Amino acid sequence: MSVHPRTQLEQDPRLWRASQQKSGHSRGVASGFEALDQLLATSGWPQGALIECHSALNGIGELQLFAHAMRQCVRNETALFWVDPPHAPYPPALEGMGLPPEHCFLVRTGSRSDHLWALEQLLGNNAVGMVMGWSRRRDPAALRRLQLALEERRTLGVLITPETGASQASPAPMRLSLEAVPGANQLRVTLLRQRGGQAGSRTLTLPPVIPRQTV
Amino acid sequence: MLWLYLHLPSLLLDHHQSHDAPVALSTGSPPVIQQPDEQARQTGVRAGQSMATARALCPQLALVPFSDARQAELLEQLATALYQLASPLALWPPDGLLIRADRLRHLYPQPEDLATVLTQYLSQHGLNGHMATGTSPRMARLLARHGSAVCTDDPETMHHALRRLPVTATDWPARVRQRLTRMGLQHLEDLLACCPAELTTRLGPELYDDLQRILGRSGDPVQEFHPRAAFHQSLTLTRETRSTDHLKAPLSHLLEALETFLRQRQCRCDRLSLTLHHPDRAPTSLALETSQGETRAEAFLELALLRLAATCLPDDVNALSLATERTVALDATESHDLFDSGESRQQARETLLYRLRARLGRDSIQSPGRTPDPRPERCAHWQPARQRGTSTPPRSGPARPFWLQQPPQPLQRPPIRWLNGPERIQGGWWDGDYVRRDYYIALLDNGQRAWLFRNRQDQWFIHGWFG
Repeated sequence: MSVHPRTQLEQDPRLWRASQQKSGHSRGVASGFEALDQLLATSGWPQGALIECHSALNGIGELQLFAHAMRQCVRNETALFWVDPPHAPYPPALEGMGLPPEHCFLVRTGSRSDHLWALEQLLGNNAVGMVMGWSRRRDPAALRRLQLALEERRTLGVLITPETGASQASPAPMRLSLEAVPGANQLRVTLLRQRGGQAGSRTLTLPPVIPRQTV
Repeated sequence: MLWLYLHLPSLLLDHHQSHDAPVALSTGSPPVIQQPDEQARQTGVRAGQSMATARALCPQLALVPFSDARQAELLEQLATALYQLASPLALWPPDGLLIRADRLRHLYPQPEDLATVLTQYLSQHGLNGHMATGTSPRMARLLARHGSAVCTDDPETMHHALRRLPVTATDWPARVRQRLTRMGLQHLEDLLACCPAELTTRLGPELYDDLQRILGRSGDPVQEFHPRAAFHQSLTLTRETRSTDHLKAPLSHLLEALETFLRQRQCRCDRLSLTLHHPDRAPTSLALETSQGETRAEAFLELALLRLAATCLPDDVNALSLATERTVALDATESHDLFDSGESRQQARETLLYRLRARLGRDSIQSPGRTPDPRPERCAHWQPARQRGTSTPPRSGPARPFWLQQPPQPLQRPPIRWLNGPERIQGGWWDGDYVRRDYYIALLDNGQRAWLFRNRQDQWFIHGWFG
């Protein structure tokens, strides 16, 4: 029995329709960078929308970018989770960033399915303020699942993936690409897509790495 | 005691019933028609006909081989569904259910009320059924199978109907029935009028005992039915298909049964296994997982369709089966959280940590800890998360990298810009692992901000990155 390709396409559950977009309730958490907040449609990192972040390297300021949001999250007494980061976050640095240890959790998973399961659990839980996950591989179906779990929550979900996936389609409402500006202690943030806003690019000067006291 | 027997003469056939094509059950070898449906009967298909005759009469006839296992499964499914409406009940394989009607008086004051509810259920689900009441299980069964729609709690009416029952309608062996007919005993009342001693000598004591059971004068134990603790159901498709659209309807049917199952037990399921059976191939198994555990059929359907859309089926599917792998009790305090208070959030966090630990292992969830030691690699560690962390005041001090590289990596190329330093860290003379390092923060040529140190031998290492 043949089905018209359009009908088939329309019934594909992977299809996201613009009419499904929920408007009016999305709130933003200030990023701490004014230039970036102006670019973001929700004047900050959107809650309840998966933020997919492509970054080829670690240690270029990718956490500085979300540092303000992390502080905001622990200030609201909600938990902060890192799932499968490339290295273990260094506790003294967390203290230096103003993140008390009782709200910080590190999750290590053994397999890809556990990784996704843990992310899904965390994103769909009200006790969690922010989740940062590091995925080695991009999988649009998995991203869609995560977005579904996150939808209508007040959780901030950030998924950091290697650069390679930037050209593929993604169900994440927000996609960023991060790269370091060579020799300048600056981070270039390219907004590939955002829900309810325009794409764009900003180069952010990162705060000096000695925030409190110089040696 | 009052019993209601539900006779389902075409359970398997009704299950395979479809609007667009006539269906018939086949049996035996060589196969013959066992039971045609109404549409097939109109074209002239009758039970006992050979396949060739049936096909000649009705070319579009869909044939389903009769299976005892399938019939038993369907009967159990029906009993599980009716358990909610009328329990205690008992299975009477292959095609009947027995309901203890006198124990349902507080729900259904009259047996007619119970019958109405059952009829409504049967017609909603496209099933044919006859029911009758009796003062004993056997009496109800005989009356229902004969089609005498006696539905009353008046013993006289039931006994009267029983007396009018022809001997041929009983479930005694054909030899006995034939003998009774030859003796001129046409109805049960003729038999009842006989002297018991004479009946016993002529026809054996078994018949007399059975008659007593039918009349409810001697006990007839019935094993009560209880639904299974885990959900497992399967569905045979009338047509083989691999299209997700065509699988949607049967799948949602199964998931609705699952929803009923979960609601009855006040639980949710966070792990389901869906098996797609192929005609000549190993079945395809899909595991469906939800984050919170789910009850609603529509939520499962969405997940299942997502999985199906992403799965490449090797062959057409002819049957589906669905089983729960894990169910979780519905937690009332969790699901009806009216006010998002701090306390409930703390509880929610603990529940979450508990669940994560349950699946990922105790040590997979870690929280930071500190040790008083000047050496960077020893002053902090990650430990299995405690239930409630203790708050420590934030300490200010020199900047520390977010990522610690352990063990330190030799520096390959000189950095292009120095951001800060040096900071001397020394210690460890007390345990023989003495270190004296000068730490710097520098920008590497690929844009990474690294935490570098120079040891006493003037060697350079990367000890971390500022994320």
